[in-house]
Amino acid sequence: MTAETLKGHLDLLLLAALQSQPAHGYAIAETLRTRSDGTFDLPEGTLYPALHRLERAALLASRWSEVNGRRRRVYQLTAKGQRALTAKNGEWRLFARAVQSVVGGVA
Amino acid sequence: MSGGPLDAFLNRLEQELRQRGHLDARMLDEARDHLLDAVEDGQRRGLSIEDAQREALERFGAPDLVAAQLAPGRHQMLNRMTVVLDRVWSRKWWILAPTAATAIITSVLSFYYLPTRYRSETVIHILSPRMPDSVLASAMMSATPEAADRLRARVEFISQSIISRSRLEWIIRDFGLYGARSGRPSADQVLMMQRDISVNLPLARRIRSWPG
Repeated sequence: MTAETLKGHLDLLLLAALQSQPAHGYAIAETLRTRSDGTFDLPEGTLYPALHRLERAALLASRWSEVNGRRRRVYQLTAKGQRALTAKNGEWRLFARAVQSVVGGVA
Repeated sequence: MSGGPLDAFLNRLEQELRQRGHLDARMLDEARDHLLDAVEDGQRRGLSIEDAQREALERFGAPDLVAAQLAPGRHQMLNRMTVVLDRVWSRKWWILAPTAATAIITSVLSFYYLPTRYRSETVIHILSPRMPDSVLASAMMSATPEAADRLRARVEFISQSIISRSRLEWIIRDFGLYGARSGRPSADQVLMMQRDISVNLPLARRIRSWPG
């Protein structure tokens, strides 16, 4: 899948990747890659501008943390981010169902 | 740092961010940590360090691409201005401290040395209102007979005011005319001055010659 296709859904993907637990950037990239079986293989460096933007919007919070003996910036969902994730997830399901019903019969 | 390629990459990323006026130290730190994690991960999967570095850099994306995501669509001139403003802002105390010190010193000196009261003098010259001859002439020329009568009566009244006894008394007294000393001028002195005064209106002839 191209980065351009992913771009419109990146916020939802990042919020969803952080839903279960806080994580640093590399772990988030790994989560996206493994959960999508390698489909979401976007340039990992572009995750950070998106993470910073979500943090400015108060959907994420971050702090420096010591992980495996090295300092890393760890991100976690805020309460506002959790609500945004629920809302975006609902929108996505509606959208996916509508798209599927239109293109479902196409071979 | 694991090696040269990562350093070179981070330098290019820093350069790209700087050119866009968005030099973000946190972004650079996170990029370094990310690349180190990726290299370690690659080596755990059995890659050589060179291959692990190559894979880490390929997955991370080109420096200009990442920098453009952080500062998208900004004009080059705007970016340069941002860099300049950042530099000025980082030295803001060099500007603010002398300004504040100057303001405080000026205030204290003003408080102690400037006088609290000021004295001012002026001369006012008051002139009696006067109607221009041209206006009067125009009024005469365009006046109706009734208006001319009113003007004649007005001129007569002004003449009487000028030679009124009370007015002439103070002129004679103040200027010592007709041999006047101190005190109220005599009736003769007032009469003499009334005879000596004549009120001539340059346009009076025109008024008198008005038909009707």
